[in-house]
Amino acid sequence: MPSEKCPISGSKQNIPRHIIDKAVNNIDQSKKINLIWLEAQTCSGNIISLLNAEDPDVIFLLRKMVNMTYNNSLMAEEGERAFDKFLETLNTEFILVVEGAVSTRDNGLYNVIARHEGKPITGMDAVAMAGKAAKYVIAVGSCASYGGPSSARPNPSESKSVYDFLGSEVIRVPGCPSNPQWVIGTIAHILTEGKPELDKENRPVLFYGVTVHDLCQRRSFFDRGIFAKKLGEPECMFKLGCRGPITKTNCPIRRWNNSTNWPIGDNTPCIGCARNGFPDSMEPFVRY
Amino acid sequence: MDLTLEQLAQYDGSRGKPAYVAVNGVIYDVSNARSWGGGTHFGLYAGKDLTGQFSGCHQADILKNLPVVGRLIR
Repeated sequence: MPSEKCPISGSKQNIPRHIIDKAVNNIDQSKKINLIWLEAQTCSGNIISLLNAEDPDVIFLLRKMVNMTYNNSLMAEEGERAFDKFLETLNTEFILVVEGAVSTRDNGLYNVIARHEGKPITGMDAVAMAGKAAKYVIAVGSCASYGGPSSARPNPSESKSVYDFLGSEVIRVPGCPSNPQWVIGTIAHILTEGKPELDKENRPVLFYGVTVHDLCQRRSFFDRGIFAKKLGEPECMFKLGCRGPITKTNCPIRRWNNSTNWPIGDNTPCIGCARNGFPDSMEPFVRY
Repeated sequence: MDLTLEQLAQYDGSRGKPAYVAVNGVIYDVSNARSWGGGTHFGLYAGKDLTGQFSGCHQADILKNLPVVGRLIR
């Protein structure tokens, strides 16, 4: 029965087979687009999260969907030869994925990602070069999307989001880290249907359309005013500072680690890791 | 209920207490306001006069959905 409180419940019975078939059929490996996955001012958590993908997994992404020409964690080449691949890709049609913020202090020297012809190449240099040439720019993770932990107070590296640095269109796929389904799903949408519908913050509505609170397994406790008084109790953690009501992701249904679990399922409040202002504006993460 | 600033500070949303905030002399109950988890809101804490912070971020009409507790007195 459709619920007035949940905007997606009415459509849940209509998850169509034809969309699945369309996605499978439209992934045409003969037309794989190049993709640069650039790690800027980052903990590399997003590329690690990507490796945890399932249905499809990262092997499918690499074999069937895109030609990942550059990523320092995954590629075989090293040093100068690796960065040559980056430069060669700039002359092709490609998708740029950036994880991590853009460190701008002292011309970006706090984040050197390569050396080429004797000169240090900063993350800022690389984002500027590839950002201008890319067909699509996708900011993966909260640092690339909004600045995130990299730009948290006092932000000594003067890090900023990819959009704030480039000033041109950037699709934001935030999260700390971003769920691999959100990343691969966004890429898949680009390949099969073009740019996905984006919200006013340029996030794909497909994955960021409703709040964690909308889908939360503890929602009925909130609606009845029954709240946990300390961590470990099974009720709604809103009074402990949960940010689920102001954070849009599908974590409760997609979950993490091969859909094993997710923060609230593991008795910790949502800390708003996928929203603008994380982490500074989301603190305290737990309130007693 | 009329409260002084000192009395208002008791209603900070911690340990299950109600979360009240004052704006322009009126005290509002934000205990169940969704953007006020644990009595905190984008780095702000309940139990305070947040008139200055409110005017920097919101229009007045957002207040009409909040339960009024009373007035802030000196």
